Amino acid sequence: MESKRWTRGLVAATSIWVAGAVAGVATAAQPMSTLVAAEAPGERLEGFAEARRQDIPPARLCIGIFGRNLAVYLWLLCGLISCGLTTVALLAFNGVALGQIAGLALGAGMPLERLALLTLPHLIPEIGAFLLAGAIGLRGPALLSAWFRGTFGGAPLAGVLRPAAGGIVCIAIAAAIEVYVTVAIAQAGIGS
Amino acid sequence: MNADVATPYSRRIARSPLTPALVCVAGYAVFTAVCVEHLLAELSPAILQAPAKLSAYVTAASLMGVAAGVTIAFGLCCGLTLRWLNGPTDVRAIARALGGGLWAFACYVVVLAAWVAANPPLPITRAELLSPQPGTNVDLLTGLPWLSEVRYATLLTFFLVVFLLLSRVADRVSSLISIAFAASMVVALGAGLQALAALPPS
Repeated sequence: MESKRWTRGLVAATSIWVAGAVAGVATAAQPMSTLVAAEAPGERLEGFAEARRQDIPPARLCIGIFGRNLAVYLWLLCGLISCGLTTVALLAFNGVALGQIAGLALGAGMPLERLALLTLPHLIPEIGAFLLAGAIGLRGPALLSAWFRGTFGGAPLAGVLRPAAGGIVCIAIAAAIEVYVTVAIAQAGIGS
Repeated sequence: MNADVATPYSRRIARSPLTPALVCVAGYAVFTAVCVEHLLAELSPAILQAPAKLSAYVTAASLMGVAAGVTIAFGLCCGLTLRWLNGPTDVRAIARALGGGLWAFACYVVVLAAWVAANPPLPITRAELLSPQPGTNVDLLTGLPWLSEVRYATLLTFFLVVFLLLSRVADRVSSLISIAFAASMVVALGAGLQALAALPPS
């Protein structure tokens, strides 16, 4: 029963996120030759990482990224008390935003390998944690309907504490990878 | 269908918490569509319009989803506080009170949508989109600088209506405490997560 609930939740969360990402890529992945180079998102992506690396101590940068991602993570978990609405909204938004960045970077001429190298190392644990939080947040409707029926016994919440804590660890690892690995890849120009 | 049957049915629709929520969604959808289509109408090159509009619509839909979620969280907190204070535990009564309060937002959104439809905002340029001036927000972009004051008034009306409707099923002090506690929880949640997201150097 519990594993079915997890599977359902993860499939639903992944579907929402992927649908958003596909929509983002589909609308943004077009040739951007008409834009001036300084505005090309691909260069913005790399320049952004390098500029931040030069100005801000890595540990501080890491805390900033962790805090921002943790806020998103907690908003996703808030689906538990909001009938899953915050979860659906943020999963779709996150998918579209990431899809658009990828689409614009590809449209601006960034090689796919470089884009993958700049994003995948930290996105795998980061998006994994977001999808986990999404699967938990999507239990909100079950909680609310149980409350309406007056039969709430905490069943939808069973076994979510450890995975939720594990998700926070993943977010912290992703932030560290983003600062110490992604920036190094950007500076070394690997894949370009 | 005779009037005796029709009246209770229409009353049921009017009293349902879903009705003001649907009115809010419809009004907000009109407001968003008018604003996005006019603000981004002259964005050049035209190739940027599709991603910019998608971003705008998804952001608006996400904000709507989060606002609806926060309203449900507010109702949940209200209900749990009332239960703690030995008040009524009928969830439907709390939902009806929330639905009544939502009419304040429904009126606000409908008036806003009508206003924007009659006075559509001016298009913005790519430079304004990429590098907005500090302090620029939707209120200024849509040419409605007084919007935040109206929003606060609407919020106060929402609380007042919820309080009045809850007072019918619980005593006034319990209603007031539950609303104050739920509002504090929602504000604390929002402020806490905003502070977390604004950790240096974000």
